[in-house]
Amino acid sequence: MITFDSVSKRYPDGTVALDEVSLECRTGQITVFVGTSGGGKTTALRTINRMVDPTGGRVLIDGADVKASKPAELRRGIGYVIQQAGLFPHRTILDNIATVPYLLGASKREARPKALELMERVGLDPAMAGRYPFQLSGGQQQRVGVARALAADPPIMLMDEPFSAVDPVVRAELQAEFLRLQDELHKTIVFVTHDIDEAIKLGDKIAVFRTGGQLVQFDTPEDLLAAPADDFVADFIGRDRGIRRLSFVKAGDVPLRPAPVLPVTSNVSAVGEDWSLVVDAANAPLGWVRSAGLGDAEGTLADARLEPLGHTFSIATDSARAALDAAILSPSGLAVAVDPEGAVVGVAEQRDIAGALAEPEDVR
Amino acid sequence: MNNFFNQVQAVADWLSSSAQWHGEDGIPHRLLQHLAYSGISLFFAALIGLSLGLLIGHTGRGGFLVVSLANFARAIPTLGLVVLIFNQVGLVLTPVVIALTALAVPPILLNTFEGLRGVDPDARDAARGMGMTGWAVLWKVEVPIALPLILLGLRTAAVQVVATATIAAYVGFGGLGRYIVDGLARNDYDLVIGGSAVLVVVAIVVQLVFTALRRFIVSPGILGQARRS
Amino acid sequence: MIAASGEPLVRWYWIGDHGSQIWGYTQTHMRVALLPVLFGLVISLPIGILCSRFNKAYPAVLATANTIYAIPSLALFMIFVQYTGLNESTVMIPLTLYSLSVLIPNVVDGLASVSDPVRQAATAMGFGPLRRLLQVELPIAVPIVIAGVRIAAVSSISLVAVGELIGQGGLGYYIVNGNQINFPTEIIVATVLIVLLALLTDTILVILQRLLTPWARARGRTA
Repeated sequence: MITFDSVSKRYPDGTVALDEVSLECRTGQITVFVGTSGGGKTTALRTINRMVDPTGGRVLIDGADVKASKPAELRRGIGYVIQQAGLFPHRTILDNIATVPYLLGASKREARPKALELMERVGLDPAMAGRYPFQLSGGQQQRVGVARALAADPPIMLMDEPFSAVDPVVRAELQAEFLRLQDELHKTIVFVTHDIDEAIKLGDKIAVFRTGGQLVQFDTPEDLLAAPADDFVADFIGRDRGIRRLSFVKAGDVPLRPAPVLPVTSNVSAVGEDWSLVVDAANAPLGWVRSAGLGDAEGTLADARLEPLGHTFSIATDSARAALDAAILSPSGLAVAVDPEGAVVGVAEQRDIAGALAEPEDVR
Repeated sequence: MNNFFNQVQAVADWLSSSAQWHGEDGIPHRLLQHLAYSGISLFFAALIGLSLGLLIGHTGRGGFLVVSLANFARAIPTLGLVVLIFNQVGLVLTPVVIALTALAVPPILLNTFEGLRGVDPDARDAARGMGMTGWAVLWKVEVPIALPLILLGLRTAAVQVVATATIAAYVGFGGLGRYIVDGLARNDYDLVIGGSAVLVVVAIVVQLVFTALRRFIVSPGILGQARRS
Repeated sequence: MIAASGEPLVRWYWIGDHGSQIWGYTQTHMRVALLPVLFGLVISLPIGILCSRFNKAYPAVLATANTIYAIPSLALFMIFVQYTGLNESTVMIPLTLYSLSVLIPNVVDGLASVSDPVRQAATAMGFGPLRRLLQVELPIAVPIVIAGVRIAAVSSISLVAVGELIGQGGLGYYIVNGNQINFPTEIIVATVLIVLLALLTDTILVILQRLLTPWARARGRTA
């Protein structure tokens, strides 16, 4: 557990980087520091491993003031990942990862096999162990940075915008793998980002900082979205705060109506003015149809041209947000709910989906 | 071009005549003297230049002084310095070696300083953040990354001392410069060219030594990075 | 400080007496020193540009430049005596070669310092290769190139003195003469003057650089 006890940081020229910040980062959780630039989130992060020393207040790890330990020793027990990775260009990937074990006295024979394992863990091909950083892509370098921070198995990890310098596709992959890793390892993580979406996706709790080093709000993502403390936070979260909240509602909680199905074997004459959902023998949805769209078609629905579904949503795994998206994309305005086998279980109207917000339940 | 080939022939003759390989005026002796003056000066210059350069480069303070000093030293005419020393002190070796050393320190100092300053701040930050002490950061991270520039400084200094040692012959010291000075005095241009040829070979060897050093000492990760940029 | 011979270090009156003579030698000295740097710059630009285009050629060019730089000036002067006799060119040609060996790497590095996004933006806006070179890449390369010119100029000014051993040394005349007649005043005046001229030239070049790169000034950085 990391405790900030009224931590302040004031520079000689008068700049206030942190203004009496108090919060607790629970053990085994991901706490995200988010905010505008100059808001102090990185400064706050760096007080934990004493890269910055506060001018007021204390930072405690499991009750002990960080000032009590020698900086170098303190840092060897804390993983540290930064935006540009900061890999050592003169060392191979393997030796980069093994840096802290070497610092702690491990021999090459002990440290290197473990480093190889870590490479696989973070999704790197072990064949690259002998390569140098300049030969790797940005995403690969970031993975090395994470592996390096994990190498000494520290209980705490500090991450400063580790995924910001890569493209969105790579970033999404890295975020997903990061969550998977955390599921296995349960480290206490403090994560800094300027991206509110990333904060909501990754954080168990989010601390919002405002320029001037003030902590404005410290809440779970759902509570943050539901009740921003003030206009600044609301603006920072952005316009689609309401839609984002739906990510936290299970699709299974969305009330469904019976689906207006028509088997694909039916004749076109069976199609009415209103939208019908065409299904196959296994009750899997194939598309939408109504008389206005059929024109002079004849025969069974198997030959007719159907309106595309857009996508469906699974009542087992998806969130209400996916359901709302499906409803918007659907030509009929109705989202198609399917079970884990892919069979239709019902449809949902946009109104019903939004209504599910009234009784939110935690998706995680 | 006939002139050129005649010259090469003359040098070849001079080099192959056995008189050149024995005695006080022989090539081995002069070469040894030259290498001795150069080597000792380079050694001490490296000692001073590297220590100061590492200190100033690691802490980042005093950069302006270093650059100014390097500029100033480059401006000093070696002939003037050597002649002045000889005029004041006579044919005494130590002052001249001190002058050689003094002139060689600035390139080592400047390049070491710039090499350390050029280290990616992210690598330095990551190193501190992982728990390396200042000393460890210097030796395990900064120096290996700065190595190409440090070697460049040493190479420049080596060239400097070899050249200055050549000039020392003018005031009566030994070394390969003697061939040029004596040859000029006696109008024996074969001697002059022969001595110059040997100096060219020395220059090439110095180059090769440092090229080899660069390839074998600098990490492939740094060489490859430089090649890419 | 008085040497064993009893001759004081500097007889100040000598300077006043020989003012115009000193000025004459100074002019010669600066001409012999700086023209090679100018030639070197002019020659190094096309060579450097070609080297940055055709990367494969560069290592060989660089190795040659480094080797030439490593040859002691005295030796290089002597080699040329055979072909150009005992006149100024014998000193100026080697000095041009030295300047080249400093300037070519600096031109290449200067062009390399132009970041790729800048180059591509220029191309995308419709700059042809030549115009891009002249209006975008070379201006950006100026600080690094001028850094090289400074080194070449300062070295050149101090190297000219060595040319006195074949009678072409500019102010070096006083160094050799002072040695021969045991008159340290000449040696010291010449040496100090050479240092001052070198530093003055360096300062002028720094000012020139500041003038040529107003954008660097605006960012508050010293090159």
